[in-house]
Amino acid sequence: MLEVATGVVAGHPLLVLRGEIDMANADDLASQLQRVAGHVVVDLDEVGYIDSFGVRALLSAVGNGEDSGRRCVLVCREGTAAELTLRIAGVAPDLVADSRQAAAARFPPVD
Amino acid sequence: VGRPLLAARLPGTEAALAGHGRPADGDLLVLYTDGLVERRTFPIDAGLERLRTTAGGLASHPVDRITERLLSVLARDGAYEDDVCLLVGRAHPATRTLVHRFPADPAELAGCRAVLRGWLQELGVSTMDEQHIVLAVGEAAANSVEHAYRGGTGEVEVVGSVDADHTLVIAVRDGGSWRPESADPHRGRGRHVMAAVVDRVELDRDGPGTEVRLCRQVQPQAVRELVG
Repeated sequence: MLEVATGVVAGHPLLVLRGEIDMANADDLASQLQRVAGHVVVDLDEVGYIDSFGVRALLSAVGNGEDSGRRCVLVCREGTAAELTLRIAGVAPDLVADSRQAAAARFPPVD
Repeated sequence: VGRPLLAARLPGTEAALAGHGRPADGDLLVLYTDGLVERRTFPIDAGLERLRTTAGGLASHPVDRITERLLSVLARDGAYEDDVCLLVGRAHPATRTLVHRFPADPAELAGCRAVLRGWLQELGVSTMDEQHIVLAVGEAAANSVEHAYRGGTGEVEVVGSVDADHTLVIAVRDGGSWRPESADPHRGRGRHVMAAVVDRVELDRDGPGTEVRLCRQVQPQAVRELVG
């Protein structure tokens, strides 16, 4: 139901999620996010559905990152399912960007 | 899904009427060429039986999904040897109401949303209305699955209808008890999301279980022909 592809954007790890996120797979997603080392960009444009369980999973990755100095920025264009849910759930704007490049620009540059 | 009603042979269209009936709301009409059910390697009766069983089990799904599933299931015992034409229709008035029941299991939530989307698309609601309604119902259904049965088993029922003022009302029912004011901030977020994407959330705990009704007025042109 949820595919996770990995990549790199501006030298930072990139996760591209495709599919639907709900209570059936949110915990798996959270542990997958927490295994990524360094600042991470998570692209949600191809996510067709995400509910509050999914938001909790994404925020848990951000929270763990804060402890270790790691940050996570979520990418979603306006009008996508993820943009709607993140906005309504009150996810802080500094955790959300409208493109992968804009997200990566929030991190210190990689040498 | 019952017995074949009509057999027709082209050209000349000598048709043999094998039965007749009036479809009830929600009945499926499946029209197909014999290539769908017949192969040299297995009898047509087996193909017909498989068609009946498969279509029957998918009765509440969107028709395009039923078509896809039938084509793949009927090809399971061997590739098609002939051209196949398959049309699936549903008796129209039933699109006014949706009834979908599923076991209170997280793995069932995606299927529930797919059925809901199919119903909304058949009604012709806008993408934005669909997105909001699916999110609200998804949250309510997940809440039922998570809390209603406290580790036991049970069913969740989703019932959708169209009111006269273009308001869609979708009830999510379960047989368990709603956890009133949970201290869990996460569940607070779920309820907040639900309330933000529909016009009204009604909570009914008077019956044996819990019913959450999610009401959203949609763009009038979408449901004009379905109301009244």
